[in-house]
Amino acid sequence: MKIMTCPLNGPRNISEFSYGGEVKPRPAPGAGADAVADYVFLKENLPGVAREWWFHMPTSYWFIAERNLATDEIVRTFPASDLFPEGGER
Amino acid sequence: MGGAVDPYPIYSTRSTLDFKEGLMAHMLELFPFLAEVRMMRQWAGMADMTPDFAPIMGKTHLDNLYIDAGWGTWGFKATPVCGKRMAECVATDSQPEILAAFHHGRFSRFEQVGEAGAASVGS
Repeated sequence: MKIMTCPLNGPRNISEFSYGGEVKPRPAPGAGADAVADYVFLKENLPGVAREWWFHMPTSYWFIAERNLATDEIVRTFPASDLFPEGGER
Repeated sequence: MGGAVDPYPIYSTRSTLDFKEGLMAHMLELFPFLAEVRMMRQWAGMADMTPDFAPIMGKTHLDNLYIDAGWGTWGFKATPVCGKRMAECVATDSQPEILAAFHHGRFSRFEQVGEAGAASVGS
């Protein structure tokens, strides 16, 4: 992987991007410590295609990528609003 | 001539181009005459990392199951005392005081080991 296609800026060098972790549902407000600890510390970390937050640093733009952790191939990238049309959930 | 953790998780052992580029850039700053040297070989392996970069040691909630894992960034120099105290843990079936902070339950209590000065973490 050398070039990543930013949904806002098009194909850019991978060094312009920063990894932001797996996309996973946030615990509900008031959720117990176990649920919060699970959200903060535990990762799926499977050798297959995963949904991840990525950040285009020069333009401060967060988006979502589907990437194969076994082959390091980027399957697709898309704006976070595709997954969260209502906004809010991050 | 150097090593670090890749900037995002991967199972491929080719390592990432951005890691190699970064390492080469640092080398050329120190030794510009290496500019014409080719990269001959690289090696990458799995690092068993924990959320606070410190190992998990000691008892679990299951009888006769003990954990000694997550040494991905801590040096092998700690191995002798780890072996001694894990042996004590198994022999007495109790968590030795020196291993208390390393119990796997620390994450659900938000009591991470605050010692991220280990190899690869600072770079």
